[in-house]
Amino acid sequence: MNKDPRETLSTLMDGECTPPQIRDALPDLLEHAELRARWESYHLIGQAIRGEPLRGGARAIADGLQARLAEAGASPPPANVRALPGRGARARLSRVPHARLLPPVATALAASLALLAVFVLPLDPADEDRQLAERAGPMAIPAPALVADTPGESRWQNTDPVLRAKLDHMLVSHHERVPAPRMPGYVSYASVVGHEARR
Amino acid sequence: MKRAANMHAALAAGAAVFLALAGTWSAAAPARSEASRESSPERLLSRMTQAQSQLEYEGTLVYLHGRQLSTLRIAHRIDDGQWRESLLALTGPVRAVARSDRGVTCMLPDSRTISLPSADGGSTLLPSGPFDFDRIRSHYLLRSLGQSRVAGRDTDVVGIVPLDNYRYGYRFFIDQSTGLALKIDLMDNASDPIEQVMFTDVSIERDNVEQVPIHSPAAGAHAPRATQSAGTASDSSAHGDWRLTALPPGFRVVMHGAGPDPSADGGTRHIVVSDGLASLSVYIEPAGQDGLNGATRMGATTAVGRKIAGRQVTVVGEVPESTALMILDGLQPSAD
Repeated sequence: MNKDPRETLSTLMDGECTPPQIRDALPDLLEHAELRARWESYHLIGQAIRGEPLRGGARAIADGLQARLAEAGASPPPANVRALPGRGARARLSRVPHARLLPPVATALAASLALLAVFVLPLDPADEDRQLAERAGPMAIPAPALVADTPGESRWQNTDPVLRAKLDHMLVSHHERVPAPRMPGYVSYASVVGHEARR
Repeated sequence: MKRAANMHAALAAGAAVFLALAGTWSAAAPARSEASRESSPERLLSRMTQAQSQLEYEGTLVYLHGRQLSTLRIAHRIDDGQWRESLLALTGPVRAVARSDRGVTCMLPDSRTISLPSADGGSTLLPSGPFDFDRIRSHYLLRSLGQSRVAGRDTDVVGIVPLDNYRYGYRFFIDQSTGLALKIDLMDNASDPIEQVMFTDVSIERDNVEQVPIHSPAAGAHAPRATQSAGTASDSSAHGDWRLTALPPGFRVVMHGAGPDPSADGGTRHIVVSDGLASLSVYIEPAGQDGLNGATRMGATTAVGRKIAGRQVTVVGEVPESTALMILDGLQPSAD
């Protein structure tokens, strides 16, 4: 990259990169830890500015959220996973309760944690990042969506960001390590990055 | 037996529908060229595999699943014999993948950046491996489906139709000039597309410079290369402390070894099962880990999981749910 990688990153996030710039910049950006962290930070700020659900799993917020919610007496968010039909252990496991509504206290706590994540926690907290968020003015953050996207629209049809991240990791590993005859690489990864929750 | 008979009847009907639809579609396509009439599906697919690893290209892809449509930008480059590929989602939250012979780095909405080194250190593993046609023909029909145009380029179309309900079918639209796959459809047993990936524009820089030749694949010469311990076709093969007691027809273990440690605690075992075309991974995590309890999917990818003998087991792959479930149900600790 000829220009400052941070500038390139901002251009990329703004959707202003030309195809050749994307081609040249993307591999470098993804290979540098500092730029990846900055990307995550930009991403989080962008979501907050647009009032989108904050996906805590990306920044290890989810673990903290779940722990705090457990302390508040709330169960984890409902995982929109179909129980396997059938027999023995599978049937017993399917009886585990997992669909409860978040109590108001837990929801408020989740909102507080997410705001804390945006403004206080050291998520590669470059000063300009925070300034950018602050300049954006009031943010409409839908608190209940902090831990759950709309059911049926999430990756893996699931509302638990930790589980989604785990399945993503397994899927990427599967595509990368399978030694059997494969589709062209872009096909496998098009399905990985092609999915998105509706805005 | 009755179940098998019903399955074969359903498959025959499905295959007939698939080919009928394909035939209807191909009838509207331009007349076949002399060259493509001489191109067998095997030759076209082999050429496609070669092109994937030899050509440089850049373009815009659309990914369609159900009613969801995403646009992606792809660049595939080869510098000094080393390939690099990047894929960036142009719609929705920023998602990106960068791959090379050193491994893959992936940025997704829910996770920290996923970085995995290439399974064999990057020295020999290609972005895509060759096809083992002898094996594939045991469970799929290979058919030429005529020609079509994709991204303004003429393509030959090859269909791979499953002979049972344990696997999906495919349609490849292969660029006549370069061999690059410009559109790939993944089809279910009702011949309906589950996922479609298609170039809307593409620039192939080595087009007409280093054209990938069409050649006949050597029979039996395309066995998949295992990067770790190679398994056998046994239905009850042991892999470490675990046994797979039931595998769908044609599937066998092609790799087993240490996993990517998605739990970050180490000790995850990874078993890969394949029929020569479709594949799935079995992840057996250390005790104390939680994970998927039930079945879910993302596009054509199925994931099923539950606890077995106190260990979280997750099966992930582009196969029907029944196939993944059969493997999950057949997994047992060897000590039993």
